[in-house]
Amino acid sequence: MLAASFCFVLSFASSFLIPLVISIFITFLISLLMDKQSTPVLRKSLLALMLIVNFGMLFVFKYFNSFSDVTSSFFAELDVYVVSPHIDWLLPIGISFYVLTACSYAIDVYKGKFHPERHLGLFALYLSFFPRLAAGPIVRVNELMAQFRQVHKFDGVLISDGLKLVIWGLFKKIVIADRLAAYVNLVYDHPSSYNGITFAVATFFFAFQIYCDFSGYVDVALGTAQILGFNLPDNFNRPYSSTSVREFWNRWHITLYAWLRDYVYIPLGGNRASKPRIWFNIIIVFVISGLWHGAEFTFLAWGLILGIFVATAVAFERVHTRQGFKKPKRRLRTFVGVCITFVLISFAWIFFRANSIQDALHIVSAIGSQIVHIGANILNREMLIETWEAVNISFGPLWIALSLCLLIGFSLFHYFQPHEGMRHMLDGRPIVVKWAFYYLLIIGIIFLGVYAGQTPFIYFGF
Amino acid sequence: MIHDRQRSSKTGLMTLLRKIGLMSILILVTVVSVFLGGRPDYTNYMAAFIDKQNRLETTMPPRIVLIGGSNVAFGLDSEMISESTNLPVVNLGLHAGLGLKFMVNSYKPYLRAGDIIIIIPEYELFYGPYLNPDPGCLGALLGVYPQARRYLDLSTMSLDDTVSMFVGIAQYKKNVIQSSILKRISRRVENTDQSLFVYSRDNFNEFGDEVKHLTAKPGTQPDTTSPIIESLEISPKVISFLNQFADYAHSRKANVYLDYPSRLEYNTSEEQSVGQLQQVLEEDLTFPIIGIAADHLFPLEYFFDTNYHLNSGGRRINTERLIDDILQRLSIGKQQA
Repeated sequence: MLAASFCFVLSFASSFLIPLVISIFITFLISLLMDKQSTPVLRKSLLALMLIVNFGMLFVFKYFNSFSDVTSSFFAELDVYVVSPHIDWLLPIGISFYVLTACSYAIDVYKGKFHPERHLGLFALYLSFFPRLAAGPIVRVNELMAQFRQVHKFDGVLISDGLKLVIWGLFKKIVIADRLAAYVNLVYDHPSSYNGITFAVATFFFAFQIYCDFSGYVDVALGTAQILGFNLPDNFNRPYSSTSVREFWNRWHITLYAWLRDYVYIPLGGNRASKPRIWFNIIIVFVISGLWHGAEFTFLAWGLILGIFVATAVAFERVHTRQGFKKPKRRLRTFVGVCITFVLISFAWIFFRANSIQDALHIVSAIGSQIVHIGANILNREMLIETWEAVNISFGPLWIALSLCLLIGFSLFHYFQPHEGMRHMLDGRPIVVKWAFYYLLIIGIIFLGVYAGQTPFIYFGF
Repeated sequence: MIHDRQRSSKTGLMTLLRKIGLMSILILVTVVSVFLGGRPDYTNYMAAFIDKQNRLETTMPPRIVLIGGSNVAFGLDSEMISESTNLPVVNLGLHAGLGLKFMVNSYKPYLRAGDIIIIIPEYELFYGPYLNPDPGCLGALLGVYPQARRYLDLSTMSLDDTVSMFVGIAQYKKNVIQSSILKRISRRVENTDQSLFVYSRDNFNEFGDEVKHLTAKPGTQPDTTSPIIESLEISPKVISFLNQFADYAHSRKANVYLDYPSRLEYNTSEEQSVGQLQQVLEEDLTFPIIGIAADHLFPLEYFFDTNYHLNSGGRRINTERLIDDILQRLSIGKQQA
């Protein structure tokens, strides 16, 4: 399995193996040393060394060029001109994910939560396990290590379930996400060419594109791991069914936000602090989550906006988190909550997707002014034709119709699927229904899939 | 006990394999029957290739044959050229993705003594990889007109490209099925005017020019960020191929000329870089070049939907310049008149 994981990394580029191997060795050795040391200062120093090496690699590969540009721009403002050095290395696959995994492991060893793994091979597999290496989920040691030690017997049901999840993930990625990507990329890469309605539709599409892209990958990862006999934690729990922004972040990229909660938010004081401090902590966590995606100002703005949304929600105490996501009593309130949350999250997605802050601001202002314009002329026939042409752009009515049909179908499916996931929706149904469902999914992948100009998984770039 | 476990695991494996096998058969039968049963979409843009071949067959020399990608289809008014030169014109421009070799090979069987062949390749076609067709593009053509395979030089196609070509055919078939289903739905839902789409066989005129775009609204915007010239290192294979073709045509009493494509001027330094490319071509090619590259660079306002597709205004100017080139350099207009 370890060899397969290394081969997976090598299939992207042989150089990608180097930072992974460094991370494995450093984390493994330092964790063992920390466990043996009883002097707090020494333990702390070892932890600091481990964090510096791991985050240092992340900085060099992911942030150095942007940092260098910002520094030279800053000096240029002071009329001091320096040549900004650049590193032309590719971002190693999964580095943002395995660095966080390694750090959480070492921090937990430092805190004495468990003794470090003494088997280098098993530890290396924990960090590099290929189904989750490229884009998560970020797995804690207690979620995976014990499974590596178990003897896995053949389980046809488990394999069959894993295959179903892989098919579902591929459908989301190839049929929905890649289809929407064509529209989104065209509009967001040429912001001066389109108007507010087109931006609004592209943003709506992007909200589903990123969800289907990322959750599609996670489904493939979870399904592949399951075929091999391993269970990984899920990263999504119907996020667009959330009735508040706060709830959304308990359902979206669950393992990253759990990591940030445990290793950033709680050490900063968490909820056990003054209200302004809590708001500040929340904003810090979201800014870090934004920067984790990349060193661009757009990600920073995205994190900041989300932090402000969540902090505001907490400040007004109007967020009602539902333990176990029980069905609410008042459907209308739920519906309004879901819609408002979706609009707020989509607003933040504009900054996430835009190529620059200027583009994002242009898009926001274009959408705003267009909404006012349409609102004032809602029953005007010419306005409706103009709106349709703006939505249509080069894709034609057929393409738009197909995309909308897929989105409506997917949204209904998303809303009504049980908490346990898609596969359990079919529990207890006749075998013909189950077969028909998966048959149609595969046929859909073949005939409705977008293969030309395929976009890689978005989170592979992080 | 252990024996029982092994047996149950074997049974489980067999059950799983049976399920996977059955599903695979169902999918395979569906896919094969749909692909074999599906009729080609003869309204497809690539199907215009058939009309262009028919015109080649029915037009008598002396005639002007324009060879190139879609810049030739979108950017020239063959009727105007014909009126100015008193010669029939065959516009073979269709898609740069077909590659220079395929474009020329598909004309070769129709080469007649007295033909004036003007090759106007997109700039990308001067570089090595573009001598052969783009497999996806070729697949789309073969999907609608399988007979076009006779113009392929399979010996120079790699295994990867051959596989991609078949994937391209499958992709085309898939698109046909998808659009035919959607067209049926859309006909019920709304009276969609299918002729609004520029990329269709019906939108070519009798000469082989694409004309729908002269009045239609562009769907996309030209790419204003990409420079024209990749490098000055033009592929020796391209040069040698063009020179060999010119010799072949000459031996059959036809003449080959090169001209430059209409292209969006990315910035003011482009004139200089296309000038350098022109210099390289003038040194390496053994047949005449009739135009000046910089004359065919246009600002954004003259483009339709890509940086090679001129709109009506750009097309008129570009045609006038080509006519000037033909009349001045070839001095045929006067002879014919």
